[in-house]
Amino acid sequence: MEANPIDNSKSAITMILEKATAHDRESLDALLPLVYDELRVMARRQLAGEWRQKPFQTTGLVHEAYLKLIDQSAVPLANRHYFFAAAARAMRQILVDAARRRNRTKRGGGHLPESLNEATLAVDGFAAELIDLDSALDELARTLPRQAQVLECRYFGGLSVEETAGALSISPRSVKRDFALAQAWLSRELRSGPPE
Amino acid sequence: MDGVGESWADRLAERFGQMVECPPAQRRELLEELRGEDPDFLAELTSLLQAHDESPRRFETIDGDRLSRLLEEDDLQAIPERAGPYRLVEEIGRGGMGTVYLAERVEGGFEQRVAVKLLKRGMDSEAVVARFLAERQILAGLDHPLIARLLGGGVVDDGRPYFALELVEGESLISWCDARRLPVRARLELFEKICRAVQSAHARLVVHRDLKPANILVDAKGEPKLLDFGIAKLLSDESKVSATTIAGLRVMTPEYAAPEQVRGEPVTVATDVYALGVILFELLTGRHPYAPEATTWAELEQAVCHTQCQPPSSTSDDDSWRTAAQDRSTRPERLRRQLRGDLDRVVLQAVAKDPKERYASVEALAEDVRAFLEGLPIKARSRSMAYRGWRFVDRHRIGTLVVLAVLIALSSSLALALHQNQRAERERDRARQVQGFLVGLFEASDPNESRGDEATARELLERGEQRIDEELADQPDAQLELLGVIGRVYLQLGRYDRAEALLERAVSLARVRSARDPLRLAELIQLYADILSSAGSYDEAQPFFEEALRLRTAKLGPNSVAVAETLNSLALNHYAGDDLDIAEELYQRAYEIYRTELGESHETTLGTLGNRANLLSDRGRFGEAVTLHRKVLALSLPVFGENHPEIAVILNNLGLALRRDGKYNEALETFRRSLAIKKVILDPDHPGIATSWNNLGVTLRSLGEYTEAEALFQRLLELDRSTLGPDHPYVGFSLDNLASVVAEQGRSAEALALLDEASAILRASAGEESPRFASHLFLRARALELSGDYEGAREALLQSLEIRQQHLGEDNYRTAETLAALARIRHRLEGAEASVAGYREALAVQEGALPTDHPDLAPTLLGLGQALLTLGQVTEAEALSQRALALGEKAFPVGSWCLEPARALLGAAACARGEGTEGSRLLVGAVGALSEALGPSHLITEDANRLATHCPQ
Repeated sequence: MEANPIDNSKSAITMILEKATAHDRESLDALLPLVYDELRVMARRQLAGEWRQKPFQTTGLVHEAYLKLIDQSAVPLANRHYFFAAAARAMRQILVDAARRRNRTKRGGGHLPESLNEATLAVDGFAAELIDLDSALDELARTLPRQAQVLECRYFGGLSVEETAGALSISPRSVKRDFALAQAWLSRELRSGPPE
Repeated sequence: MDGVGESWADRLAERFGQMVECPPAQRRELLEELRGEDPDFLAELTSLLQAHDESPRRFETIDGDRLSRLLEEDDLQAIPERAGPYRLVEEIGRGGMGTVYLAERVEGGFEQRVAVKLLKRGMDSEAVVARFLAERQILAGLDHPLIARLLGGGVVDDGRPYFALELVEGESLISWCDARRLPVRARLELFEKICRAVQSAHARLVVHRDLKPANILVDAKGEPKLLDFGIAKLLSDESKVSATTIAGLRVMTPEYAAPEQVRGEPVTVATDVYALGVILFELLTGRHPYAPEATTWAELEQAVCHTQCQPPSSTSDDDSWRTAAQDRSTRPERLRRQLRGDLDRVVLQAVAKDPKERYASVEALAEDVRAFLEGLPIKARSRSMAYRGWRFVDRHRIGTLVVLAVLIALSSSLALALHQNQRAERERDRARQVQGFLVGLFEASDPNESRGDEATARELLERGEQRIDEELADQPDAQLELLGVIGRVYLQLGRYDRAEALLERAVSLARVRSARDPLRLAELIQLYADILSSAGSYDEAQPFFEEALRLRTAKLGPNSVAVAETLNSLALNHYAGDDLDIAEELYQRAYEIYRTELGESHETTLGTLGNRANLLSDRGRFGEAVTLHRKVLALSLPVFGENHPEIAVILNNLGLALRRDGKYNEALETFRRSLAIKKVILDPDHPGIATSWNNLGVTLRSLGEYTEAEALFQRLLELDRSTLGPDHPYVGFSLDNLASVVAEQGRSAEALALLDEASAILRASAGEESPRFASHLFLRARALELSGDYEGAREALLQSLEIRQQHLGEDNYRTAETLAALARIRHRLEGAEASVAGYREALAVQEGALPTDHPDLAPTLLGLGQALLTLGQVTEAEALSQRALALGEKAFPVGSWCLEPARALLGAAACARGEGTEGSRLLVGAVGALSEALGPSHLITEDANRLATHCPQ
């Protein structure tokens, strides 16, 4: 059953979160693989399980994952934002991985049928954008790491300004500014074509 | 960019933040102030501000639609190369559940092409596979030319479940029909075929649950083929589906989901009837009855559960109607005429919101389609009549029974009117009068005046009685008919006193008119006698049956169906009055007439045959009874289809005969089959389910499967208590049965406490002198024996014996069973020598009462053998143990512990004969097996262990 790994990762995630501190990249990195699998499974369940569902929001998924994975009595409330940051990172990874796989099969002429309707094309475009955005974000993180992280939280995690501020231990005002800066930077980069 | 410090980034963010919201003039000023700064920094800042100004990309929220699709397709896309023995070749289809691939079997000598359905990730794979394994026997047995076979299933490397199915090449039902502009008749022919295939699966207790045009392909030859039979069940966890979970939802298609599916209620054959109804609607009109455009739960539930389906012939959209007519090679007005009336009714009955209002089976739906095609009357209820009736029922729950009974009685006389041509005119008039009258009763019944449901039911009937005099005084035919109808309703309700009074009156009225209508008189006399017989007045009923018989024979001849009806009733009357010889003969006569007149497979013929089989079983002729029940079953299956209450009853009676005949395994299988049908067609707390549990439990007990039996009896006890009340005799029976299996498992104290409870109930209900109480005493004796209280056991057995000898007779098998138990107790208390005569006496009676190979003989054979062995009579002891073992091997499955006591005695006898090695091996093996099954200190284990004195060491 799937219950065991979930239970294991729950305690691991809870333990990491208990001692996490702001800007603790190590904790964040340690959380990532644990959160990644769980989020992917939860996304799958939602996609497979819900009937004609409205497009789901990553916000909902991230919050649901928190409730499911964390022993809330053991984790200081403030630290839940670190989890959100990790979840946003994981969502980014999940989407980019899916986009890369999609690109690969397209090129390799895998098993996808050649039904080139509009919806398929739209998703193809989305996948390409995701891959470009991912590279650009990496690039941005080299010069402006915090701004890159703000954008990651807001866009991939669907976090609110306040949640992002909590996750990164900065003021909501800074979040807004950093977000604007990251947006500008990415607009400029992506407009000039995909980076080499 | 190495070496660029954090301060650079911070400053950039700081300045950017300052300037980004500023008006241009102020921004220029601020830039001016920074003139002394690093030119690279300034260039970067300016460039970013410019990028911001030129409609920047927002990256605020991710596009959920695309995100869903990307992940969804990512799931589907990861294709394993193989699924079990199959190599996946290419994708051929995709649906809500997963993707279908063309696959080849690469193991084995030849190449086989199949369809592999690979499920989406994120489902509970293990549960799906477990259910698949549990159901695979049943699904593999679905061998119908129009059903695509399930070939296998399992999980692929990444853990996703897959099913391998027969590869079908064809086109989806609706588009195939439309492409060929198939006319309505041809569509109906095709639809009937589909129904027959679905029915054949239902006969094997498999419900599709997800029937839709996409699951029905039509091949190049025009033959339909049904896909995914039974798959939906594998994907839904019955135990978790409820109104609030969505677990069940992913396995159905909303457009074809029945209301009970949407509500998360149990799925039955009626669910498939509903889906077929929707499909028929589409086949006929080209559109969906009310395509639910719902995007939320509430909307879906509203549409499926509450939006009334309009008749197919009524549609306001002229354009689509014109297209529909074109697709059916006809003109719009002609299409409308074709659908109006019968086909409207067929569809509406199939898609009724309440499963109980739909066709009772897919077969019934197919029959109506067939009837329509052949120009015969259909059975679907007229909407107005049914609607009035049901609206009434909605308000008065207990009234349901009455209304139903009236409707049934009414419709049967209407059917009679339609089929007897020579008297058609008059009968039809009468039927019309009766119908109008009954409808009037429903309408006049004002719910505000009634005081609760019982009152309403009674009021309805009383008002009927009253009106018979007021309104029909000048129409004696209708008057008599209605007295009969209402009398029959009272009979069905068990209100014998009312029924008797009504019929007494009807009979005397009819006698006045007997010269004009002697058959009507005979009919009413027959009914009157039926009522008397049902009320237990067998002797009183007798002369009336004989009078009916005379009247009918005189008018219709000795071999008419009406005469057979009376013979059958008369037989039942004798049967109930314990005159079994006469009853058997009368059944035989009735059967001969029915068979000649109605045919061997007619319901009525089969009913009489079944009665006779029950009689044979009661007379101890188990083998004959089994044969006859099997015959009835074989003839009834094509008539009713598997999932029919009649079949469940026949199977139950067959099971009883098999069990009495000592064929425990077959009995078990038969009871299980009966229960499976009941689970499909009955409410979970219906008494019929309780009957099955009881019979299964008793059979399991005979097979020594005490744990399983205990669980069943426990559930049965709870059900009995909740449905019948704590003091009902059935509660006592269930306590007795539960106690007996608890005792056999060595929990004596618990068993005796249960028996005390049972005793109090049975004393008060059945009485201390009843055979039922004798059975209770017999079970108590066994519990006492197992607890080591042999004196107490003896006392209980003696009491039981007295009752049984008196009520059941000296040569009854239950009397014999008591004698055998007494001999065993004597053996324990007084030793081998004292017991031998008792054993021999018991054995003689048992052999007279039971077939020679009956497993119930084994304990007596072994007891006697054990006593004889102690007395040194080795040869006979060995022969007895061999006989017991042979009996056991026939009755019990290989490996059953029930065989071990015989092996133990066989071993001990071998030892006594001097073959110590072989004997010891057998004995030690038997004792080991018994210890394992029952525990080392169980009485049966100890009995076997005691035999070790005959072996070396």
